[in-house]
Amino acid sequence: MSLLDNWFKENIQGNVVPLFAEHNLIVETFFDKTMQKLKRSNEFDQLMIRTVETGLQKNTWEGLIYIMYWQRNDAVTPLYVGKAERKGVSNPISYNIENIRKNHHAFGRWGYGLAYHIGDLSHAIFQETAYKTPSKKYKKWGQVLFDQFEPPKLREKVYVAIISWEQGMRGPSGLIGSVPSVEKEIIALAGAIDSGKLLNVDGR
Amino acid sequence: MYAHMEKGQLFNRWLLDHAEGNNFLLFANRSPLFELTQGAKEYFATLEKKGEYLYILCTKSGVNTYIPLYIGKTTSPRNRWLQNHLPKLRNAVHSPKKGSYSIWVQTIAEIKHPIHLICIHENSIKYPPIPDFPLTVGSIEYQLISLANDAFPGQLLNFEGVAR
Repeated sequence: MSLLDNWFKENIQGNVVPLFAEHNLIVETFFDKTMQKLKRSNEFDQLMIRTVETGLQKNTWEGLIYIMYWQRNDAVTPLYVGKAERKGVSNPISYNIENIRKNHHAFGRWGYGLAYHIGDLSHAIFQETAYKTPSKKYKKWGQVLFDQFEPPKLREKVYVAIISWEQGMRGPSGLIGSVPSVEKEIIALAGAIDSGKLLNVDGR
Repeated sequence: MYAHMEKGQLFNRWLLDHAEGNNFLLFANRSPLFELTQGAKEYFATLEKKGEYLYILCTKSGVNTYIPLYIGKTTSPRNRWLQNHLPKLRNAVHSPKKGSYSIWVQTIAEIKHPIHLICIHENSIKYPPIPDFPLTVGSIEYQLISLANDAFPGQLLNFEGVAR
């Protein structure tokens, strides 16, 4: 088993949910004002809310790291790695996670708003008019995750692991790390996996 | 607290082992012109191998300690600097808009020591910065950023994914 698989096994138990509300891989959709959106699963929403609300009660909580993936037999095929930190750029609580229960716009980076994962992915798939054009990044997400867009049918079931991060936790290196540092460790490992499906694009 | 010391040691050990012959002083003068040293111009002209280069913009603290400022990768360090980073730095000096390069300008202005650029071709990589991690250049870029983020908090100009 790889370094990453071992670390996943230790850190994602009980924190894995399907990303989308779907039936036979067809993802449910809804209209948010005039724009069609892919629907997150209830389990995902509950896990995100629980992670953030429980985390914010502790001074030692630093945020969360998430991994979107396909499960193939015993192995994880990582698709995307990201994070939502407790602190914002200029606020003590980041907009991404504040009022999480009602924050469907950002929702820990998985919100329905544009500039957040589900909002941007929906925009890329349904190609509706908005203040910006769909990004190349999310067009790629659409191509990798979906077999067809009308209706939106997944190639495989998509899971997300949400890892609540506290001071003193260790990344795959075995070293204690911050949320952004450990996120990068996971990407460093996931990007080198043969399947080559990782969707993380460094914006540099 | 984090393993600052160990991550810093891993980072510097790797950089010291890979920097020899790949390390040059970058700026003859800084803001507003950001002109390159003659050595930098000559060195860029030699970095034309196929494949990818890692590059680390850094300053030094003492003889054997590098403080990283920016970590990236490119197939052409010359083009990346002459066509991308340098023009953006020069534009940021005069632009009323405050973007990431404004922060580069301000950070560079505050550094008293010389600023180096280290460019390492993927074929020269001897081992990964984090033990048992992959040797691909993409992975190493992320490993270096990961180590630097905790070992040198608040120093990196890589805005994607640095700590707040």
